[in-house]
Amino acid sequence: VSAVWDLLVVGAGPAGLSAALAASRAGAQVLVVEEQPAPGGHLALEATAARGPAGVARVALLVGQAVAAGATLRCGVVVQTLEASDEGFGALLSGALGTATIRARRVVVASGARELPCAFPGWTRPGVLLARAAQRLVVQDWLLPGERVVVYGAAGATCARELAAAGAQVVWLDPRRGARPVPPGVERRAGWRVVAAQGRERVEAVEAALGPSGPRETIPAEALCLALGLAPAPELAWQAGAQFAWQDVGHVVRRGPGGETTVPGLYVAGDAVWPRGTAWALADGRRVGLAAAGVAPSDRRTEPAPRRPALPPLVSGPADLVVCRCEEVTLGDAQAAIAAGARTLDTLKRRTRAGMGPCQGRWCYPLLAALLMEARADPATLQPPYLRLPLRPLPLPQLAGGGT
Amino acid sequence: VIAADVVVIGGGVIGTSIAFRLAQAGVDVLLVERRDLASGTSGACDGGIGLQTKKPGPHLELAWHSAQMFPRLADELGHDFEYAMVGGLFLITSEAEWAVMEQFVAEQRAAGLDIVILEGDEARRREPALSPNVIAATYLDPRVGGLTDGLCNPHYLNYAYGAAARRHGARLMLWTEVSSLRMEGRRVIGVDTTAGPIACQTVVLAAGVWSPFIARTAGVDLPIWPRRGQILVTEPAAPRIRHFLHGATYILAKFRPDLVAQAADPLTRLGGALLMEQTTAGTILIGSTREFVGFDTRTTRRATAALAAEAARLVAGVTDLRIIRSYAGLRPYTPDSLPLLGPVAGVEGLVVAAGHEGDGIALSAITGVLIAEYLTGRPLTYPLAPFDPNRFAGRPLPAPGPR
Repeated sequence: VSAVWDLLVVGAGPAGLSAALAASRAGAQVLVVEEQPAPGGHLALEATAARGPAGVARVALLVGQAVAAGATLRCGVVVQTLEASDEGFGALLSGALGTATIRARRVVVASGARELPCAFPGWTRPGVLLARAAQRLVVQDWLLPGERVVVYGAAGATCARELAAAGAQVVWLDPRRGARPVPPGVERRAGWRVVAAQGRERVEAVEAALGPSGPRETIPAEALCLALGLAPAPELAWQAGAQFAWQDVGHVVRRGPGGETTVPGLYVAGDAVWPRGTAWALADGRRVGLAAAGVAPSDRRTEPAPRRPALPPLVSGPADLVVCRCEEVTLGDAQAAIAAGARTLDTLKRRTRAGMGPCQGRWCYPLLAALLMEARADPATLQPPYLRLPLRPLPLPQLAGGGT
Repeated sequence: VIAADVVVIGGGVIGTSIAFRLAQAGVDVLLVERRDLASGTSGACDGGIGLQTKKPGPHLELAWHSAQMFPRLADELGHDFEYAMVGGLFLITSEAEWAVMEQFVAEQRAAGLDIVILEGDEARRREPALSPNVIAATYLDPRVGGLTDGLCNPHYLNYAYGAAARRHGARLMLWTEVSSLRMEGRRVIGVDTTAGPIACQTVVLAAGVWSPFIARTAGVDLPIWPRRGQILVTEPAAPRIRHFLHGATYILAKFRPDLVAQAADPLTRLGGALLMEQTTAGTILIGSTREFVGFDTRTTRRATAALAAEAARLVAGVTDLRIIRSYAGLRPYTPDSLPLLGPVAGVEGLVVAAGHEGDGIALSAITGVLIAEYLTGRPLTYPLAPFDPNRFAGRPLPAPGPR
């Protein structure tokens, strides 16, 4: 183990593995850390193939190549904080065995994107889950979240495909109108929205409507999977103070040609910049990995403009609708705080506690941002949540050992 | 043109408390805050309303007056801010600390605070979470003076002052930044802001660590420096910490910087000492450092590790909890740890109320009353002389850090 790594890559999804491979081949000593117990990011959640090899096979190939090129991969490890220093960064890592501080000259944040939540009556009921959580159940644990499952959102094709392939009866409510490719065995309903998740405790049925004022229907289901779309989540870049611009549903990091942020030595790659699909994440990871290894970027293509996902309203419901699950802050609380003077995530948090819980706002942030933008907050002052160390809850004795 | 008799600059607990008392007295007051209320130091601190933490003399006397107001303050403001008189314990873990604390307690007792030193087992009986390392603890018995150390939610206190000020007719201009004082010769005639000029007779500068920037536009150098305090937050837990806890080294860190400089342990070298309280929401706050690092509000590996280690050493009953986040605020330090309260010499119409360092929450109630009494010409509840903002004039003041 080197005293100082040339490059720390945070996240072993397509962009992170691709960056690690390119940088290792360029001669850099690379450490890749992945929070999940296995590498691959969202690609590892695709067991069935739409076209070409399935995601899990592509992950195995990428990991093999990166390790063969000399990269070190550690899974089940969280980067709790990054601190800039004279020779790069100090990173506090935590894992099952405890904490350790490592040093790296440069850092690529390839932590991917987070799925957008959507608040409607009943959305906190057991049985409502994010699409990737449902995919993980099916692909990694061989479990179905229910016999009858409703998938909700324009980004629902992959989730619907995996669930149907595993034997679930799947209704895909797609807020987009018009024809789209539909995975085998899936019933797609174009232009439909979820109104509420019903049930005594768990989800028993999904109340849906065609458009804002069209016909309504109650669809029996044991699970409702949210697949509305993705927002970039370069959480360590948020913490490190890089500059961002608000764009529709999330913040886009400001990058130079090689992917370097406004914090010297800190790079962001792949879905963590803006989710544009696996092919782009692989290409972007390679480009950023080379630049971070000191190879001048040859590819000077300008970045494609972020595209707004086709979204229904992210928050719709009565005043007692919960918008921050950790602290049980309601829509009414948030609206009152905005009326009283809150204009940013930070000031809204102090007035309502929304974002003070264990998730530090990473969960509710798109919902709160949507409310602030609805109230005409200035996009220039809307900064990403400021996630302080520890990035993930950390046992006190482990933190006590992290100061060296 | 916007006009008011008094403009208060700063929407923290000090500024809103002053605006409330002025409005209550019928004064035409306008508060200007560059962000939202509780956006600066008042939104990034702990909720302590301590008495044992104060130095005998004017500091303690001012705190006593303030503490007396807190039990009735929520009713007066019309909003709850989670105030509770929980009592405080200063945790002693060595004979050397015991010796220093015995001397400090003697001074406090002479000043009328009925503080007792409890043996370790008696302290653990009152606070079962304490570790066996605690050999004694000081405790202020409320049965004599009717008061002891308290806690509150500082954000809610800040919003409560703001709402009460508004209810009494004060105007609050949020998201408006003051760029400079408007002068006519050596007289203040208003302020320039991002929303245009505001005309007034009197300016109350209550912008905490940011006050020197505004004072400088009138040629005044205020001796206030930002001092960073880092705090950890645990996951919410059922009630398990009853008191407001401090390590005895808190007294050393606050009043004996000479001893701090020689300290071996990492927390003391960061100017820090343990402070711990459980909030109404169930989270436990673990502070705090006192670092001169300019306006940097980041939290650091070194400090958070030192705080966690000190918490584990003194309070065994929290080591099963997870830390969910950390935060840091800038305490407005003055060279003698006393706030600057009153008129600024040489600038007619400029009154300052800033520099409370870590005591802003505790002293906010009395500060509002004193400044309002001063400006309306009523008899003062406590003399302002010990807190005269001009008391350092002519004395060389080495800067303790950047600002």
